[in-house]
Amino acid sequence: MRKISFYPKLALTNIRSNGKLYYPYLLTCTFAVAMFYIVLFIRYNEGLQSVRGAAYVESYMAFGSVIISIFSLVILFYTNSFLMKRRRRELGLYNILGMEKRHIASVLFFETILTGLGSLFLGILTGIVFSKLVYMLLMRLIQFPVPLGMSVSFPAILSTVTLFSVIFLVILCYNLWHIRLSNPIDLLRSNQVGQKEPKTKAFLALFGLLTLAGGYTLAILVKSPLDAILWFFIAVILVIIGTYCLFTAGSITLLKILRSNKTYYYKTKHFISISSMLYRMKQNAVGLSNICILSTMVLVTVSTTATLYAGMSSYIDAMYPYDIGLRFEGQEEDTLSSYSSFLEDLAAEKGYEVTAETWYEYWNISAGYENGEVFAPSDYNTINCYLVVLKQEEYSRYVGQDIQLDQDEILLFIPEGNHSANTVTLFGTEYRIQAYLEDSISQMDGIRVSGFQSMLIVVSDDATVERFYQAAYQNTETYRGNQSGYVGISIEGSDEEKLDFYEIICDFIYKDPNTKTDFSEISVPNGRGNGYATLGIHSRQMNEDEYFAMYGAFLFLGIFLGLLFLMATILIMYYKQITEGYDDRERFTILQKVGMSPSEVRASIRSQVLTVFFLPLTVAGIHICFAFPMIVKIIQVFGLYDLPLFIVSTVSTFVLFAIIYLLVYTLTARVYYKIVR
Amino acid sequence: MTILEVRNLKKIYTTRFGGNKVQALSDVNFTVEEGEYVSIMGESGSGKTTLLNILAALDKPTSGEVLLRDVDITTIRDSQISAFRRDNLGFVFQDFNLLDTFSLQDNILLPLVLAGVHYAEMSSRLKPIAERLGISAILKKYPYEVSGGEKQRAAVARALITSPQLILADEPTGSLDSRATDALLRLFAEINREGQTILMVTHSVKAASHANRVLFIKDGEVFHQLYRGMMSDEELYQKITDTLTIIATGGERNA
Ligand SMILES: Nc1ncnc2c1ncn2[C@@H]1O[C@H](COP(=O)(O)OP(=O)(O)O)[C@@H](O)[C@H]1O
Ligand SMILES: [Mg+2]
Repeated sequence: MRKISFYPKLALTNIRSNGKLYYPYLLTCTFAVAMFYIVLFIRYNEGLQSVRGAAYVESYMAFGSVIISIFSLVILFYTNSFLMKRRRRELGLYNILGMEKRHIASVLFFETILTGLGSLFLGILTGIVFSKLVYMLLMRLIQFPVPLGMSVSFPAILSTVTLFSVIFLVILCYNLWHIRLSNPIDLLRSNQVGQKEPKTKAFLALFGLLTLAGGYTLAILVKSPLDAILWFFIAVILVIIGTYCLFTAGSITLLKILRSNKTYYYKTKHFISISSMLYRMKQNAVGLSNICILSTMVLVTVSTTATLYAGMSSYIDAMYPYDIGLRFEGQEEDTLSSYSSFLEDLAAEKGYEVTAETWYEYWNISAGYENGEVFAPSDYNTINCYLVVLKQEEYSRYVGQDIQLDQDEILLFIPEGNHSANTVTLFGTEYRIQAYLEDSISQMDGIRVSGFQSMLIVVSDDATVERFYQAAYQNTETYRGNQSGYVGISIEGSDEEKLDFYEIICDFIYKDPNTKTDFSEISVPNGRGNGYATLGIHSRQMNEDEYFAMYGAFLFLGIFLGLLFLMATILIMYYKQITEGYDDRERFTILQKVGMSPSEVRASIRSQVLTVFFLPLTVAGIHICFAFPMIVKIIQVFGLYDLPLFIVSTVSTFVLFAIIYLLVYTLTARVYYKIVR
Repeated sequence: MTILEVRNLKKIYTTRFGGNKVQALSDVNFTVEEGEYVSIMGESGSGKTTLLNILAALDKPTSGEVLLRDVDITTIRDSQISAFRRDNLGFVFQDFNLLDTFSLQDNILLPLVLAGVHYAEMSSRLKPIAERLGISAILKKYPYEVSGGEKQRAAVARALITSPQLILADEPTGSLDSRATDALLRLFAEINREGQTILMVTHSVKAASHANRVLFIKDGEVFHQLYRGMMSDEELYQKITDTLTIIATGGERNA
């Protein structure tokens, strides 16, 4: 009996006496378990079904749970292998003192079981306690108050237990395998073996430099938003490879070059720091690149999702300026005005007060563009420019003032072009630019002039439009732009009333056979465009709910994953400090013995530790700067053009992150200095 | 001329918790003349390392004075102590205390770099010393790549390169095999003949028998001392063994 309880007891004692190493590990396990549980809790929550856009929330949470499980495996495995390395000596000693390998194995077995059970229990408990709070936070973000269906989710507990049991099992297998392979002398000695001087890997350093430069160049050069998404992943991979190579090989190559300059190297200030950094980098390069990449991930995820969330309202304003908007394509001449008066009548009949309304028609034309000249594309592949063409009376109605243009005059809007030219050649004819329009026009109701070489043109009359149209489609039959139109109406009332009115309109248009042409079900042949007409009806309120659900859940996931990455960063930092501490202690006593004063030693430690710690943050900052133009493009795909907003949210995310980083540094540095002294 | 004078040295360690007091040195007095080679003998735990640490200004005595060329090193301010140590003292330790992040050459040059000496001057000083100690060929190697004897010779080179007034050695042969021990002791005797003052702490009779004078330390005091006079190493060795027997059997003290 006594024999059986010996190993669990020893395991418990071991965990306690290695507290400095073990408690952060336990904390990480607990945190990972809790996060996983919470994400599943939200995913499985039935109350969610009543949210419009629940599908987004659910799929994001599913995505989140996958990320968390992969990441948990990686980070727990990493931490465990670190612990095992640190404890090799102790285990070797057991072996020498007469414990057989299978006994050591059973100690390890119990240690893993204890940590596993302990962190699962604590983690799920933490998860249950915080799940309600987190759920409420999510509901706030998606602006949809849903009563919580349940307080404890058993399916979530089951999945969590299953996943982490597997993870701990993998870890246990690794540990046992590790013990099996090593002999006691190795175990004992492993902490003492002198460190070999790191090898110079100039080729790898060069390779890293090239991949990093490649990644950066890609990020800067990408022009179109859609390309940006494709190239983004390639750029990310290049930058990650570059970061690893430069941290590992690059740093050592650089330090060795510095060392070979004798007069520089044999200076009091440089001598100790260069040689110590050489070893520090050898030991820490991988950890530091991990920190750097994780930090970059935190920053990108949080700042992007925060921008999308913060920019959502302005995006919705731009996309849905009116409560209800009807978008037409290929409509007849009088369609828009008749729909407009139909909506007015309908509102009056149902007792809604109309607060705003508008209608106008415009043309979408695809063309080729080169050297400031718009020309007819010879085939589909030469289309690289999209024109939105409005007649002056339509534009006048929209802006509410009378615009007068001559036959050869236009108003022009180009999103990113220069505004110096006085004339522009459109399909072989030169037009005078009476004025350039403000940026705000790009968000004209229902129209979005965006991206590379798109433009909005206001012309004097039908004849000009007709000329453009004929010219543009003389060669191609593949894609034809169309006559489009927009009718918008807003009413007084609550969101619910507005939604009701939307339903009424839909009923009339889609279902009542006595109303106008049913655009949605039958495509009506007409004389213009590609011969068919379509109509879409949009409710601002309905879309708003979906957008909030989508971007709210997106931001939530961003913050959640950001936290996870942050935790990993902190953990790696902490263990780094501890390892360094144990290694440095001896080195610094020797330095004092040969005549370095304690204050010099301290200054030297500080500068080295600072360099090592703030290197990843600095590099992460540089990565962000280069990623910036690319992320701006990607955000445009999501319909957001608010550059200042993105700058603000990126900078504030970075500052916040730097503060947390600094805080963690100070805390872990304290542990470090305690060990060194 | 007296180079080192130790007067009424006393050291009491107070353990951090509970205030347990350990008296390591109770009343130590002795002097070292310029050019002497003195060894201090004592059993393990008799306070040898404590004494050496105080002489090296690595630790402060509870009371008493240590005069190095009439300067009381126990009163030197903390801010100057490192520079003082660097300029006046050289150390050789039992466990070598070489930094594994430096090549042997850089380990040897370390005190000079700390003192801010110019590189040209450093290499001109290094050359003769390295040749003298027979380590010229391995200067570029790292501590983990060479043998214990070679490590200790590098440590001696590091102690010599600042031309210190006094070399302090704490059990320098403690981690060496007998061949390396013999070589190191021969080396110490040679550099002493060239005028270097050496103070060596040891519990090895063999090591002590190479010195000009042997001090015996017991119960925190200098218990007895032997002068070589005209004795050979072997005769001194015999004499030391006899003295140790007397000490062990509780013989009368005669300092
Ligand atoms: N830092 C210390 N704190 C408390 N006691 C110490 C400390 N260093 C040494 N001692 C005690 O002082 C005595 C002398 O130690 P030491 O000088 O190391 O002896 P030696 O070098 O001759 O073996 C021993 O009893 C030892 O336990
Ligand atoms: Mg000792």
